[in-house]
Amino acid sequence: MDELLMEKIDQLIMGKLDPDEEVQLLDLIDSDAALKEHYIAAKAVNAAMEMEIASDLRAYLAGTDVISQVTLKEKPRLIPLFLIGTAATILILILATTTAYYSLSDASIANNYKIASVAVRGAVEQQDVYFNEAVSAFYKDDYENAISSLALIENEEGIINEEKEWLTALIYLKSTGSKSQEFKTSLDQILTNENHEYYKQAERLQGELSSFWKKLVFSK
Amino acid sequence: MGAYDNNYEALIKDIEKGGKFCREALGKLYRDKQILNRVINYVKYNGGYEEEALSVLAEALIILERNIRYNKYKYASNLSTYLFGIVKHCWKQERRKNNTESGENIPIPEKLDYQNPELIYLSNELQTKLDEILNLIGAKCKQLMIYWSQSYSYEEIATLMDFGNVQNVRKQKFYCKSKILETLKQNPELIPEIYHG
Repeated sequence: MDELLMEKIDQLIMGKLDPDEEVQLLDLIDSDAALKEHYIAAKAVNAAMEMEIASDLRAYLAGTDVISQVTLKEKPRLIPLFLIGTAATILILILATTTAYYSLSDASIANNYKIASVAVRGAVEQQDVYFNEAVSAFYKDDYENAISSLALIENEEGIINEEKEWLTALIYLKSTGSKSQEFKTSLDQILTNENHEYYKQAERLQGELSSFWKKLVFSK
Repeated sequence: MGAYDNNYEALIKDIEKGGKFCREALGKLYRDKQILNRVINYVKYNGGYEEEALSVLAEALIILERNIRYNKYKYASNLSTYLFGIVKHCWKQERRKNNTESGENIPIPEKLDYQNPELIYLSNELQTKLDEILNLIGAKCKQLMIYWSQSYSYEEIATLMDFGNVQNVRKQKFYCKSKILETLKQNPELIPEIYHG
């Protein structure tokens, strides 16, 4: 096949011929098996060449210093959901532990037990005056004065003595803690007497202090 | 178009000249900050990343070069508008390809005159077959034909490949092309099916 015809077929493939010329050449190709064979082969060669050219230009452009012109940002990495879940769980645990710590502390438990019946007593006797002073000091967290005031009350039978014992237990619970000997002794004193005015409260207090959650949070 | 606002024609002429002029012109377009920013903004706005924008721009320039070489660029729109049209098309093709790989089915975008999907989105199988065709000739023949296809002048090829003179280049090119075509004619099974139509 002559070079000129080969060139024409190349131009046909590249769409460079005039419409009339194109139709003419296509008709010629359709009517000539050898030419058609050549045309098919030429199309494949053209496609292969174009693939090479594209690959060559791609490599050339990749070597062009274009990166320095733009600040490429790294693709944001997706944080795996399990990490978010773990972080949330840890946060919840911290919050729960903190809440439990404050709500199960000795002082917090002690605050749940009131001595209201005593507080409204009229201070008609000196004993009552001392007792009210002790209660007042207790609520002001002045445990030393509270104990001192209680010490002034003479031991005698009756409600005043039982109130004194209960208040003493609460003072030691808040000041020296539930594990202190002073507290244990004062609480045991109430618990040995089922008829004690504060027996049931002492029992409930003991139950709270020995609860599972209290032990879990204050395991040391 | 940055520094080339008033110089589109010169760039197109350089691309038409082929060879080193074409490469330099494409390199200038690729490095143009305004083009880059426009493409990056478009790709990012459409869910892509900057790296992907650079890749899409490169592919668009390859198509631009081919369309100018094939006289498909008719000056109907200015070069930047035309190039950006190709960028959008390439990005849609890229997304379609990625979504197809991930199992999603995105409709094929409307075909436009600048589309040459066969240029970039060749299947691996077709690429392998086309590679095999080029390997039917020696490395020197292959290189010569690539230069020639890229519109390098015979003078340039003669210099680049030490052919001595233009006449030798012309002879060698004719020999290489005839050789590959004859081999294919004798072994039509080497020609991928899509070119038989």
